[in-house]
Amino acid sequence: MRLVQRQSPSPLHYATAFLGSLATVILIVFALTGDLAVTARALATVDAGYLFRVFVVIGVVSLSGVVSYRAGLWNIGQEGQAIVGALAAISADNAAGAVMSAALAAAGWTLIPVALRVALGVNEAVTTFLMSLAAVSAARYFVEGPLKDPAKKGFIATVEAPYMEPVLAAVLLAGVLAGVVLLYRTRVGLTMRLLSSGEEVVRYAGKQPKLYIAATLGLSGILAGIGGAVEIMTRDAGRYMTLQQVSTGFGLYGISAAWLGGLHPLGATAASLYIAWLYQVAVNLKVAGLPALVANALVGTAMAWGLAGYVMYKYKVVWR
Amino acid sequence: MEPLLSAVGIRKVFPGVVALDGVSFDVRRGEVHGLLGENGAGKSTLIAILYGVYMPDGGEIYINGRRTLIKSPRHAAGLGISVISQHFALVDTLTVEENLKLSGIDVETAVKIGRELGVEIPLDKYVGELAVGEKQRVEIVKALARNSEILLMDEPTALLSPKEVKALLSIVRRLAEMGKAVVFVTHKIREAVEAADRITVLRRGRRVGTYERPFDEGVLLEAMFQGVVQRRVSKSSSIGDVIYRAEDLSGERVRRATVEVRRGELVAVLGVAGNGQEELMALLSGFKKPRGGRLIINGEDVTGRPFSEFLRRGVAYLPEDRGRALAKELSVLDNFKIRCIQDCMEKLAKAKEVLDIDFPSPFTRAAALSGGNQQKLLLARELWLVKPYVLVASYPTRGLDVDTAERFYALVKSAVKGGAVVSMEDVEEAVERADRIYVISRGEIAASFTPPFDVDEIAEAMTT
Amino acid sequence: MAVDQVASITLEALRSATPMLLATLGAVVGQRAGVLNLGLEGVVYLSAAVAAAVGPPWGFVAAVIVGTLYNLLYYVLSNDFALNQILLGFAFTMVGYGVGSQVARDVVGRPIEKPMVYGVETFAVAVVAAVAVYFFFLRSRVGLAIKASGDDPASLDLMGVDVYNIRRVAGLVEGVFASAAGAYLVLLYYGSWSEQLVMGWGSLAVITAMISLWSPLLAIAASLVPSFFISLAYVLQRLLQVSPHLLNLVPYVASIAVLATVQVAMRKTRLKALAPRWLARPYIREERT
Repeated sequence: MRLVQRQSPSPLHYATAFLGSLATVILIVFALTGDLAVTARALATVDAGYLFRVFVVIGVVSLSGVVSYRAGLWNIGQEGQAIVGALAAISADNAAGAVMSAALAAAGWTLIPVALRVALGVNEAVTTFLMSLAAVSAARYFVEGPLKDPAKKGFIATVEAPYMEPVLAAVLLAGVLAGVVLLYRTRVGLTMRLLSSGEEVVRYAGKQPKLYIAATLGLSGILAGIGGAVEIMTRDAGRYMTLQQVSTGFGLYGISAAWLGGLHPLGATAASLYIAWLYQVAVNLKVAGLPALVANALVGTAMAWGLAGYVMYKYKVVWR
Repeated sequence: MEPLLSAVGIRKVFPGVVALDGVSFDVRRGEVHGLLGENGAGKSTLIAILYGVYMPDGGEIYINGRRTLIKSPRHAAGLGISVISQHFALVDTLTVEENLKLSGIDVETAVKIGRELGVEIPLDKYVGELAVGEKQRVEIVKALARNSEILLMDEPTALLSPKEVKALLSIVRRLAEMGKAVVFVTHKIREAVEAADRITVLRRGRRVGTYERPFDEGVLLEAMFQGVVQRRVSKSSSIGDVIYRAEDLSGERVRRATVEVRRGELVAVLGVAGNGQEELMALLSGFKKPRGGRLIINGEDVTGRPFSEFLRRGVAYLPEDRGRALAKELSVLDNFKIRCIQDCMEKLAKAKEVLDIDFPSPFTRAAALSGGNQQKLLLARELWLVKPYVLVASYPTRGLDVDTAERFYALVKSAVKGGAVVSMEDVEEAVERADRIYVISRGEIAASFTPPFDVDEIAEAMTT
Repeated sequence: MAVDQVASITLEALRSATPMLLATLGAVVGQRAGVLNLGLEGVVYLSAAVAAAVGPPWGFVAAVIVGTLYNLLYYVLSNDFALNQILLGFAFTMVGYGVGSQVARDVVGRPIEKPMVYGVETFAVAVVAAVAVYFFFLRSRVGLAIKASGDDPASLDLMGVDVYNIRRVAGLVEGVFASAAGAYLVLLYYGSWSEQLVMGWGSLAVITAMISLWSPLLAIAASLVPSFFISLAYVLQRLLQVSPHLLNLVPYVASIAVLATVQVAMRKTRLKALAPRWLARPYIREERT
């Protein structure tokens, strides 16, 4: 078996990846429930309003992935950045302020891996990944400490984040999407994409690679932070964090959507809808008594299919 | 006599180029079969297919008359095939002994074979510390210790000094006398004639013909180029003042190099590969910061300034590694925009026409272009579009067919406003093209020459 | 009292250093082969879950088998099929979380009878393993091939050694070590299972492998870094009025800080040569540079 470069790349294979993911999901759900009727119900039950809300959040986070991976930078700490964004939103008074402070907080949080990468050459994949785990502990501290709501009797939770209409969030997503698409038409955007071919090419183009690495990773972190803020603010109820409910998994969902969407802003947004549906399926399963982390398994396989789509897009597999 | 290895109708397609189109080739025991052709003719691709690196898209391979599907290099090695190419099958970070062990070769046998061949094997040295010639000799010993019947040598002389080439050619003859089947790839007619029993000429992925002794160099030349090439020798008529000057420039390998370029001049930096010329060119272009010395453009000291400053002053740099200058994953248009600010679509269309660059659309990925077309795209951007004042080019014609190389020199004449420094590996090319020649050896400028050039004297300076 | 505390931290650290060293050795082998496997976290998690679900003593065997197979799947997908190493590792971690929590959902919080272990003796066993890995790299042909696969896979391939095979071997070794670490965590260290309990160990091992400059012997010392800070946090919790959540941050922060320090030292010295040159880059035979 070997991989041979295609004459010209084949975008059609993202459809193959999508179908592969769909088949995998159906198989997993059936394996978990062991019952066709339950499987069908888990797959078909959809709460449109809920799905829309989740879609918007995943869409925003997926653009964080697109920005990073199109530049050949490996920010995989969206989960942590989203948590930080959510914390910032909780401490804000209104929705607009929440988005602003989420962006700022996430930028600050991302500054650590950025500085380590730019100044010392530490691999950002490893640091952002680890910082996602660290973010959970950090958030728990805020839940118990500075952001604790003294009014809530009987359980430990933060104060509530301001509410944001899902429609407003959708407008925000559209704005971010348009922003990224437009960015890629500018020289700055071109230079960001040049990064994927190595720092030398950027320097050859007469630009400073470190500046662009910092800007790109920073933007990626900010988008994930905004995603986290939007997530907590668009909830119908329970716009707070508890000790158990810190990590929401939207970092993973966004990254998966980015890859299934071929790292294209529009593709990623479209794929976000599919991932949102997967999340709905996972919620249905949870209602049926399965652990919450099953959502991770479903979306994780979808992401692997997205990565496979990228390989199939460039190579054909020759079996001999 | 039955050929030991024969390939029939081999075809291989890469994105943007048909590398081999129905090529047939065979080699017998005890013969050296020369594979001759200019760059881009498909020689190396054929070797890579015979060694299982590439999977052919069509054609058949027979070993000892039996049809064989070569699945991988490992499989090829098992079939008694060894390859010696410019990409050595040696790991730099391991010692020679560890490398031998890794290849499954008994160290004592290797040392013994080396001694018979008059080659010393530096067992304890790291491969990364070896000179190119030494690495190559280790490779030959490896092939013999493995008892390989078939030896594929891909441009084995490319990285060697003239003296080392002589020694190698005699080893190649010895190998054939030992009964090995040797395939000897080269783009130099003289070497092929000297070493080979038969010569097959490839041209643009097709076999032109196979020739037996005695060879007629004229016929081979005709077969290689099919008469399309008329080398134009045109030297600069008027040479002006010094516009660019490097004084005592030092880097990691380069030591105290002084280089001057005058207006209207094409300066060649000549040397055997691995003597620091890549670094020298990077230093001269301002892409790499020097450890010592000064760079002066038009009388102004610009030492240590960022590369963008050099760009602003009209310096263009063509690195030997195209990956530094082209973003392979991005489109042709995006790559063009690295230097183009306005009306890029129109300008790209114009460049495509003027330089005869072959790409289906401006949105094709650069990686999908053949090597020659990538180079042309680079020339279009850095020379045709930018019209630089000073050109610093590192092996700009390496890997190019003669036609494209010709275009490069024409473009230097028409587009470069000041002068050019170009590194080369071929003495003849330098003598033919340059107004002045610097010879670099072990990181130092060993000598400089002005016309009339004495080829032997220059070759001598390269090897000291 | 101070002496008591130090002894307590040390013993605690040694106890937790065993799984850390095992997982780190796995990561060292994998990264030496050129594979930056962030899925190690998922392998540790999944094998721990399997160990918890099956229970001692067969849980250990089952965990190693399942964890190793899972790791091998990662290696086949990321090398033979060239799926992005980093992102696939992330996906494998997430799938590991999902599947693991499902596998062990019936034993959440149920205590597992663990044998009396001080930690020193198991650590000694792990140290022996580290020395074995050291000689494996130094002496054996496979060890050399693994190192070559991480430094220069193209040359290794030309040499006639199948890079993909070698990486599968590395994946096998890595899988055994990582899943042994996972099983140890549940069966010998914590003695119980909950969804959050074994999170983070695999990720820390990935960093510890880098801190140890990919040397199995240095890994012995390096594995004590996160363990020391984990134990320190554990002990400090009993002493100080600081939020336990903040103390949980300590191992991560400390590991990243040590990694950064090591990288600075590496850049300034010849240690740079120790880093696997092809780390996290796919090797595709037909793609020549």
